Amino acid sequence: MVIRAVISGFCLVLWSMSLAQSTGYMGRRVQIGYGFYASPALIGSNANNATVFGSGGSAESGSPAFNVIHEGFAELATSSRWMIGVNLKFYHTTYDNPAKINSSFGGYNYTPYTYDDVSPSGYYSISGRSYGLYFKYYGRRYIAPWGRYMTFGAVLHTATTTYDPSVMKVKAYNFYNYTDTTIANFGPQGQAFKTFDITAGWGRTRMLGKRISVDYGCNFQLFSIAAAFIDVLDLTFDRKLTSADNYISGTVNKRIRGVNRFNAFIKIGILLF
Amino acid sequence: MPEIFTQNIRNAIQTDQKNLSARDKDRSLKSIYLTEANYQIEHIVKSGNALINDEITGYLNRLADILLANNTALRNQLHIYTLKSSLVNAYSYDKGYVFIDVGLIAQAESEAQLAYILTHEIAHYIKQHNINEYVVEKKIDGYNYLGEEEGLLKKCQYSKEQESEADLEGFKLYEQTRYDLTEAEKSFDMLQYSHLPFELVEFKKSFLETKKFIIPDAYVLKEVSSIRNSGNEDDTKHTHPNTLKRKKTISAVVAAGNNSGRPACLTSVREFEYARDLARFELLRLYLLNRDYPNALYASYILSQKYPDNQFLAEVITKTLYGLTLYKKGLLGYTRDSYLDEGIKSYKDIESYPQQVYYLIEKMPENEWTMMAMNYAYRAHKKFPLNAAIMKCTDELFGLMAKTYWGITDFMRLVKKDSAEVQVAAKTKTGQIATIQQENNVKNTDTAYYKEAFLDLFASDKEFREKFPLAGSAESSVFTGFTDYRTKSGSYHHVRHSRKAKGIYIQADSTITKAILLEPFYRKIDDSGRESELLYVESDKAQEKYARLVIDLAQKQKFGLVLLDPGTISAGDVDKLNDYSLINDWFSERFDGRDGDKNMVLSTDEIENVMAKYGTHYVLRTGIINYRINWRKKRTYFYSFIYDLKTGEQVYKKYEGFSGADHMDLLNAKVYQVFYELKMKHGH
Repeated sequence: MVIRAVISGFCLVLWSMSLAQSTGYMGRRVQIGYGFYASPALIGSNANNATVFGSGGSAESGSPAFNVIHEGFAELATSSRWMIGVNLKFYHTTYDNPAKINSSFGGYNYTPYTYDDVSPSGYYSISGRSYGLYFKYYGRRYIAPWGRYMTFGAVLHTATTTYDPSVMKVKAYNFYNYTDTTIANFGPQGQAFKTFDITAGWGRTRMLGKRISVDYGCNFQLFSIAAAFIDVLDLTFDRKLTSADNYISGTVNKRIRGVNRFNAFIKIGILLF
Repeated sequence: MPEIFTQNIRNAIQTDQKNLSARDKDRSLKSIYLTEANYQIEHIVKSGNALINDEITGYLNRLADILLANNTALRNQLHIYTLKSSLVNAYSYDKGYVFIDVGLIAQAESEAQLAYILTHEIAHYIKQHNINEYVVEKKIDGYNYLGEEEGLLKKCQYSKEQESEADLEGFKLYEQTRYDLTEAEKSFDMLQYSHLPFELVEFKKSFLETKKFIIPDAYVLKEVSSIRNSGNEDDTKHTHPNTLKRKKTISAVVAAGNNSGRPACLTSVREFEYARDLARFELLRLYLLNRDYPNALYASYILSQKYPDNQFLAEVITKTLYGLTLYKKGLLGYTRDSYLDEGIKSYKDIESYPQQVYYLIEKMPENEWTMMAMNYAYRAHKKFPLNAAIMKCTDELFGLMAKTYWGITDFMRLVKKDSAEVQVAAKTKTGQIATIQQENNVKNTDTAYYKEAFLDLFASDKEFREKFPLAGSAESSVFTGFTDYRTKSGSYHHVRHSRKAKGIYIQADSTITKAILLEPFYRKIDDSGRESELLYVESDKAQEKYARLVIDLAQKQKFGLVLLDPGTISAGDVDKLNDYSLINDWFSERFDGRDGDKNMVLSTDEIENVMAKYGTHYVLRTGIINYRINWRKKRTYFYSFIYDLKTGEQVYKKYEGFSGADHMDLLNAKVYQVFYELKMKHGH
């Protein structure tokens, strides 16, 4: 049902665009460029395992921490008010392992002292790549690609995770045999994940000379925002169901959402023709 | 071409500012004045409102030569211009620019009066009154302890002192010539009654009558009101002393002087009257431009006494009667933004003989007026058959006749008694009796005074018979006249702009590929202070840049543009300046006091030549207004309008406001879009 609505919406937009003619900026309608996105790493760590708030990273050091995303994009003005664009985004981040592992995980005869004690130490790395298709709708007085606009679109997030077993591990005390247990096996060292989201945002494109565009604004992702309270309250999963094997798969999306949830951006583009 | 057209204004300002004394404590204020004054002068001269190289201005300059025959240095500093304004006014700037309104020249009773007014203005220049007044006014504005009222009184007081000084200093110059001293005194009488037409004569109704069309006495005002202006009004809040005081001062010095052997004219009476009559004829055109039809009619009446067979007068009278027909039918109106902001006044508010014109306008019912106008217009058309304007007016009036309850049959019954056919049929006695009886019957039922107005025309004029509309045939009547004041539907009601229309729309019948670009407009205004301040130099620079941008982007899209911009007109382009002025006049009349609604255009028939000359009937007006609201907030407005000179319609409109500065990308995008949309005929 949702997919049908989305497809219908796209068709409607494409149809409305086909009715109009495009002025472009001084006749130029196609641009490519580079975008830089940033958001504060508020409740999770960034690529350097630094965090503004939360349990890990630089929350302790007090230095600012940001998630950054790099983007390559291509856009076409299809009418005076509509642009269609595709982009490819890259980012690196870490998950600083605040989630806890349940006492029954991994089949070990294991009882933690407290739940807090069983968060894995260290972090694991996430390399993200997102593929987006989006539309920009310019204000009444503006002419794509110049002026103020609103944007919406769809994005497919792909991510691969890696971890270092010597860093990321869980230590627990076994009351039966009175020995320490170390768990460092969180599944394959490289794991791939995919998620989908809807993007929205607004911005303004200014022109330098006849060909250079500077675009700035903010961008957010709807599913990520909808899941924000879950992430903040750490309700992503039932603690008793978590195991070492699915620890990464159970937590990686939280960080992907954190990186992409809300970003300010600035882009530099070149109008080709 | 005067020097001002070729000078670089920014260099001129710098030179003027350098000439200020370094020790002048008001140097800063004077520098601002010089900037403003230079731009104001340039605007006045280049606006098309100043007559250039014409006979009236030539005459005024000859008077200046006479006045300053012994002071060539001073004479060479003066630049005297005639302004196309019906006001009775003159003023000068400290750079030696003296401007005399056409209305003032038309009112002058003698050459000596004009000469004295010139010396008054020259005295202002000699005494540097303009710049000093500016400084004083700015200082008064800066005195926070002064209330608005007190500040105004101080300014008026200072101004009056300057005027009095100019009266006396001017007289000293005047006295050195051989002009009649008493004429200086009389010039104040002329000014006192300048609200009245240039001559006061009884308006005789016979002027608009023909043999079979006699205006009833009921529409004629026999006794006109007296002239009320005593010249002794309270001048406390005026910039000039009242005329009685001024006259008294000059009377004293005149009495002390030797007036023997001094004539009122040093050129020749013929030369003076010729220049004055030219001004009076120009005044008629200005009345039409201002849609001041009663004054146009009365002034034409006066001039027609002297020039009874003048074609231009017949044209003005025809246009005036036509305009008043529309006015009486409610098809033409005035708003508070109109030149006549109170509209056409009641005859009760008018003094002396012109009251008779207003009375006739007020009392004669609209249909009778329509008939009277047509009667005059058609006969003028027969007299001057090649005059296109009269012919168009006549055709329009035929159309308006169709809107009366009369039709051709109302007149044709009476025609029979005069027609050749009836004459033939009435050769026998019984036939004659039958005709007489028929006439009697007709007279019994149709006794109105106007029923026989067109008898002769019906009888002998085929064109008249063919053009005269059938009763109630308004829908089928042919309107071939002036730029249309009606909407496309044919209704006379003015178009009310919908919300959508306030944005962008295109109404042209086909794509527009060529237009006349009328002086791109750019204003930068600092609105952050107590008073809005126009940033002259910044605006000027931006305007130059904007004009180039518009032309470049038009070329880029292969859109044909003919630039009519006084700022770029060179010595060989006098025609372009005239065309620029003409189009401006067309706009003044067309949109006088209207927001979106249109008036008919009667004052600029030559517009058709302009269209033919430039190969387009479209005019593009575009501009930017940028306000600085505070130190960080700006707002920019962009507009582009295209008008069709043929139909008088606005065929393209884009008016948009943006928060922020007037960045180049905004200008690029919007101007480019205009040409793109015009070519694609694509509006939103």
